[in-house]
Amino acid sequence: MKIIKQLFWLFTFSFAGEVLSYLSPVAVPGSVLGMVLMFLALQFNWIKMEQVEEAGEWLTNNMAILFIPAGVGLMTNFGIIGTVWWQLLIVVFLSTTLMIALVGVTVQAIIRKSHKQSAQTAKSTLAWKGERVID
Amino acid sequence: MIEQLASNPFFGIVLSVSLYLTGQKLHKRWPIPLFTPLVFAIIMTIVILLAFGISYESYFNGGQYINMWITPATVALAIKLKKNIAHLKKNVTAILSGIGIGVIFHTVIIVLLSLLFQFNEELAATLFPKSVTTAIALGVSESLGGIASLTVAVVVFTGVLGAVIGPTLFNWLNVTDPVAQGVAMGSGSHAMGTTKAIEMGDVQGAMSGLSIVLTGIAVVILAPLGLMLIQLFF
Repeated sequence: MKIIKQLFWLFTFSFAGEVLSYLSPVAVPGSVLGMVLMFLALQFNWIKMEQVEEAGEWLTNNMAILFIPAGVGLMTNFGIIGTVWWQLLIVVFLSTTLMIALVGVTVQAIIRKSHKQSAQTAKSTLAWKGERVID
Repeated sequence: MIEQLASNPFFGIVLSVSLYLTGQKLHKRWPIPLFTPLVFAIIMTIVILLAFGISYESYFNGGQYINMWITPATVALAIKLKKNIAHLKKNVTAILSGIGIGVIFHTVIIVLLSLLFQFNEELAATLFPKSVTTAIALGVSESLGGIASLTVAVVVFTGVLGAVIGPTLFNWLNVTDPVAQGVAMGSGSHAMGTTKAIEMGDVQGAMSGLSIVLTGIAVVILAPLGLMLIQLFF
């Protein structure tokens, strides 16, 4: 019964997101709008974490399995893939590598800079070492 | 007769789940990317369907019941966001600017490479959301006019690749900060990167999970811009 109640909330927010997506002038996936609604509901205590936690975490922790049917849909697109497969490999390889590298370096640089500043104002030299300055 | 039996919804469900579970067993024994349960299940399902001459439509009679859970699972990501909001508040500037710069840069790269390879509008829209979690990528790809199933394949490949090369990249570039590592894994290679990030440490795991959601939202916000660029260039 508990799981049914929790799923009920998840389905309700899913449908609300789809409705909102249908009404919205810009193309935003209903699932994302549903997520934003659910986050607001949790943040403002309209629903409590315990009311959705168990079913929700079970779903997010096992999300990979849900993408099998969509991925198998590839078999209907062999035509396109056959002509551009090596270009696709290059695009994925370059964009993924550069994205991870850029985000990692940027976030670390900003964190260090802000810690350096706060350390300087506090006349502390601890944060200078750089490593594991957070926490 | 095969086609008739394959049209029964339980065929698609049993086939998908059994191959996923097999992949999990294989991956535990031999942890190579090919045995990542999702990768293994997709490839083997295609192989089996082709071998027995079963159409995708028949398979999807069952597949749709698995597919429909993607939306509530995406909605449930709000729980992860809520739980990690404290981590976000502590490093809000660094995380948001990192993800923002990353997503804009990623869009530029995709547009440039698509122009270089002379991809059409459909393919560019397929690739635009490739670094975000599959559920959100699917929605964005569909709303931009991309090929949904190809987006799934590209997203999965991105995830596997990111999880494999992430730690090496951090070594080369001397990215040692756990928050930076987590954000980079989550924003660059979504849930599969997060699996790796969890192995790297608690902070990395939490930050990576949070970044999946934030990157997804950033891509959704930037999607109209992406559409504009695509329509401008293609």
